[in-house]
Amino acid sequence: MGIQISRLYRRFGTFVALDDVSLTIGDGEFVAVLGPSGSGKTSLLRILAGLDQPDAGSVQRDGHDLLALDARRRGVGLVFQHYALFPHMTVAQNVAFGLRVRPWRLRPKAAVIKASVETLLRKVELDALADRYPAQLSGGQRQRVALARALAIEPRLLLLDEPFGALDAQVRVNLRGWLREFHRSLGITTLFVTHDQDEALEMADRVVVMNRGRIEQIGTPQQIYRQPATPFVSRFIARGQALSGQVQDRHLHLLGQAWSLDGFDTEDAHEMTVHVQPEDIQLAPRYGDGVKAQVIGLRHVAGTVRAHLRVEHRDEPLEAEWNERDWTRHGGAAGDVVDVHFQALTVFGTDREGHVRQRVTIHPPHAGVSVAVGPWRRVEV
Amino acid sequence: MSRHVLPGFRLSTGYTLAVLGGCVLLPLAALVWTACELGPSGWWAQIGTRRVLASLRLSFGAALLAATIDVLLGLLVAWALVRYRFAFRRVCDALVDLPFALPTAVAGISLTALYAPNGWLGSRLVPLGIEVAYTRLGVLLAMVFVGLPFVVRTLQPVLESMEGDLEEAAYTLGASPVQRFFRVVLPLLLPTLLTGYALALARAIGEYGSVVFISGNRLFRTEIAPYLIVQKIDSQYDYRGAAALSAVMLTASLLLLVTMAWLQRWTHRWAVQR
Repeated sequence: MGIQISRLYRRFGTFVALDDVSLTIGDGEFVAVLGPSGSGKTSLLRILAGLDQPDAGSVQRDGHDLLALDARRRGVGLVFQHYALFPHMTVAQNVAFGLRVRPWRLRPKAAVIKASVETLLRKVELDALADRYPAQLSGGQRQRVALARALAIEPRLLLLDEPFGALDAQVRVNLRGWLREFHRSLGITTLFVTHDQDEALEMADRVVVMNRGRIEQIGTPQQIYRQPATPFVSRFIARGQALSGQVQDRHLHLLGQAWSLDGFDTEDAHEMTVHVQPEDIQLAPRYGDGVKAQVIGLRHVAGTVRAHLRVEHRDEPLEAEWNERDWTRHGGAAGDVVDVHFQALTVFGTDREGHVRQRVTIHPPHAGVSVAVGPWRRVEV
Repeated sequence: MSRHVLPGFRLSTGYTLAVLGGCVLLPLAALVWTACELGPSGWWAQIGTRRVLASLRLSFGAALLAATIDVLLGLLVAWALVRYRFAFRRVCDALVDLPFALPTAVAGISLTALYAPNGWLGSRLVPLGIEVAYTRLGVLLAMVFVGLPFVVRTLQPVLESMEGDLEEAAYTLGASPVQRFFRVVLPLLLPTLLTGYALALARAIGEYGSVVFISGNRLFRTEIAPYLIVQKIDSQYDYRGAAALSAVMLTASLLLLVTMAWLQRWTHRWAVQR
């Protein structure tokens, strides 16, 4: 059953925070909402937590209206971006808060509260720090206190707002794996909001990409990365770079080359965009084979080489990502002209409203593959 | 010595101590010295009279009560000014400072004119049996008036910087509005409230100008200790008597303020650094 979010709208003055947002979250699923700031992801979270109400739309859990429930009876745990720990309470008191404020009849006995706080603190590996104040903790420890505090009320839905936003890079990477494992051991339906692509792709079962209050794409991390549904997703997640090309006679003409393009209806497309990802721009195995590009900058980052390439008909340099070994074997330096292949190109056709109507990914044939069309020569390997 | 961004630690400390010594410590030392010349029995002869004891009781009693009222009122005022947007909010905000800026005598005379039996408000209150002018209630009112800005102005920045996050967190954890206030907001404001209380208290104990007019200075009833001190010097040229009474006030005030500072620190113990 899970949670059905359907057709949510929310606007603040003239700013549209949520524009027709629909989403279904399965029981026990770990979902990331990914988007740049101002994309509406936090608005969605606040509505689910009961801190805000939508202008229109509904949220149902197991067929019951969630929005009608007061936040107190919603059973939703929220971990704030800056943790919002109560500074005047110790770690243990913070965690116990949700149980202590329960109405008298539902409140567990003091001994029961104490025991469950201890269990939770052990789970988040903070049992040794129960009597510390938040001011005495590191960022990562505070984050885990906030998590334990939200879990104390035994929520059926856990919401995390930029859970790693305020942490050091190193702590962040460690906590990611920890949180993923933690979720697996608890099995609570979890929704987390982030603007960090790596975080979303690495941790989530499913990723929801948002932009300007709209959902651009919902899919597994792999789908989002490999088959971006819109130019925005391609640019934002897969670092897709626009190339200027044209479609004529069922062929894509681009940078002086042409490839056959099936299943793309030029009549239906008001505008056309071609995207290529950095790792799909590869060095051609042979000289004189492919698109000419001048290497204008090289950066070596952890086993990969990020090259800035200048190609004809494009003012901005293209970014390519190569394996460092391949680049060393190829040999060369900044300033050289190299030949590159595009291993995958995605063509988006959008209508007048900017909605994507068609999307075709082509894998231009190159060395080692029989060439069908264009100036590519047949190359046997 | 560690390096500081701004140089001149010794110079600035020297100046500070010199100014403090000349302006504060020296006069106070002279005061205590003069009081000591009396000796214990002479001192008690000055202090132990019914008139003096009554004035001390009124000064400290009314000041403690006034500071308490200031804290309650000040919290409401600061809360309204910080959390809500309403018409003339800025004007109201500026009005809070008025008791600071107004010469205290002016405040005292206005209050007296307002609450005197023939005054605009007094003429309506007296028939109801509420006498403000020339009573202890009047003393209290004047003290509340002069102390209020201290509480509001100390609270305002703290309320402004208090994250709305905390109340929202309490809300999502299931706390009712009452619980959110008493378990989250109030404990966080307590250190600041105590600071405001101490400031208002200090001001109320030392207040002279605005009180003497509305109190009417009736023997045993509405004479405040500062009034007696002035009386001793003004009409009796009794410098030692004045010094003796001043020394008592000084000691009591100091004790109160030290207690407040200790309490304030204790309620703020959670802000410890790692």
